[in-house]
Amino acid sequence: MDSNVLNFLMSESILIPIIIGAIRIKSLNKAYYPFFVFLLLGLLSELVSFILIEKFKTSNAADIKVYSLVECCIVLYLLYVWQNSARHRQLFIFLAAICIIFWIVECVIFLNINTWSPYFRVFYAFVIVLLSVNQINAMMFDHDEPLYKNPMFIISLGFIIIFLYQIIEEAAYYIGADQPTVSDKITVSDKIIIGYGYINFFVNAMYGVAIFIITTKSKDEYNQYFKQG
Amino acid sequence: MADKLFYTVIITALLIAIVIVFFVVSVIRYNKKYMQLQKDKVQAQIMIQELERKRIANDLHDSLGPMLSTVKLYMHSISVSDDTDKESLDKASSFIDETIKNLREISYNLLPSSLARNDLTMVVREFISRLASRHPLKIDFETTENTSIPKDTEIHLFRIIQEIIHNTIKHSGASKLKLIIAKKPDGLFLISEDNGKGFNMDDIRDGAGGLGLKSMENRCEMIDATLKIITAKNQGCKIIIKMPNS
Repeated sequence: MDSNVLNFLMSESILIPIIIGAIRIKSLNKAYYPFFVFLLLGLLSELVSFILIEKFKTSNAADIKVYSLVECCIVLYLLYVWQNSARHRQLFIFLAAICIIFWIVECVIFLNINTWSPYFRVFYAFVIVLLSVNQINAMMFDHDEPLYKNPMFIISLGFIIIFLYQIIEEAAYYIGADQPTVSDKITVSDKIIIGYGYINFFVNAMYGVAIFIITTKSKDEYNQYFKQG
Repeated sequence: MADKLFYTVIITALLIAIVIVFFVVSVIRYNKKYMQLQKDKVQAQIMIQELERKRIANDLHDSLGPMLSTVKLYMHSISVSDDTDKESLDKASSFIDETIKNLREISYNLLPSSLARNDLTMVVREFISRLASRHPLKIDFETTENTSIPKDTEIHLFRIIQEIIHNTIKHSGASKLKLIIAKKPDGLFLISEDNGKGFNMDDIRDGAGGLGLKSMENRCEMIDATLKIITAKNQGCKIIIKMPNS
C-alpha cells in the first residue's frame, strides 16, 4: 500500500472515537462534550489538510497552525472542566492567554501563518502534557474505582502520549528541514515523523475505548438524582 | 547544522526531563494530600468513637446506676415474713449489686472519669489495680520523673495501654507484663514487654484479626507517634511507641 494512503488512513482513525461518540451522543456525560468537539475539529483539520495538499497542491501550514490554537484552547477547557474546581479557574485562563499571545507572536508578528514553525506546537504540547500528568495523579489519589475504567484517565494518558510525541516530532521536523535530501535514504527525523502516524492511530484507538466506557447520563452518580419526570 | 541538532536534542530532552520531574513531584504532592486526608478521616472516626463512648458511659453511670440503686432500696423496703421470699429478695438484691458493679466497670472501661481530673499515670495505676483482683497477670508499671503528657494525648495513650493489657490477657498467655512511660531527650516513650507466647506479625495482618493492632496504629498516627512491635513465636512481645516531645 502507498505510504501516503496508509498515512491518510491512519490519520482518519480519528473516525473510530467519533463514530462511537456519535452513536452514544445522547447518553454521553456533559463533561466529555468538549472532548467530542475536539475530535470533530481534528477530523475537520485532517480533511482540510487533505484537500489543501491533494486538490490545491499547497501547504497545509495555515490549517495546522489555526487547528493547533483551537486544539490547545479546547484541551485546556476540557482539563479545566475535569478539574471541577473554581480554584484553578485563574490558572487555566492565564495558560490560555499565554498560549494565545504565544501564537499571535509566532504566527502574526514574527512569522507568517503559512510558514512552518515548531515553537507554539512544542509549547502548548508541553503545557498539556504537564496538565494531563497532574490530572492523572489527582485521579490516582481521589478516585476509588480502578483507573483503567475511568475515561478521563484513558484520555489524559492519550494526551500525554500524543503531545509528548508531538514535541519529539516537531524537533525532528526542525532538524530534518536542514538535512539534505538523499534519495531512498530515510533519516532518523523521517522515521520519527512517520512514527507519529502510528502513535496517532494508537491514541485514537484509546480515545475510542474511552468514549465507549464513558458513564451514561442515567448512571451518573449525580445526574440520577435530577431525573426529569 | 551540528549545533542545531545538538541544541534541539538538548531542549527536547530537557522538556521530557521536566515532564518526568513534574510527574514525580506531583505524585509526592498528591500522596501527601491523600495521607493527610486519611489521617483526618481516622482522627474524625476516633473522635466520634470517643464521644459516643463518653455518652454511653455517662448514661450508664448517671441513669442506669441510680435507677438500679433505687430498685434495690424499694426491694429492701418490702417486708416479708416468709423465709423463701426473704431469700429470693436477698438473692435479687445481690444480683442488683453485681449488676451495679459490672455497670460501673463497663462505664469505667468506656471512659475513665478520673482521666479528666488526674494525670495518665494515676489513671493507669487505678486501671491496673482494678484488673489485679480479677486476672492473675502481674503488671509492673513504671514512669520516669516529670513525665508530663499533653492532655489531648492522654486519652489515646490510655486506650493504647488498655489495648495492650487486654491483648496480653486474652492472647499472650503471659504471666508478667512490664509497662514503662519514659521521658527522654528524643521523645516520650511507652514501652511494654510481656513473657507470653508471642506471635507472627504477618499472620495477624493477613488474618481477619488485628483490629486491636489497627486501632493502636490509628491512635499512634493521631498523636504523631511511631509504633514498633518486636515479637516472634515463643519469644514474648515488645511494643515501643515513641512520641515527639512537642
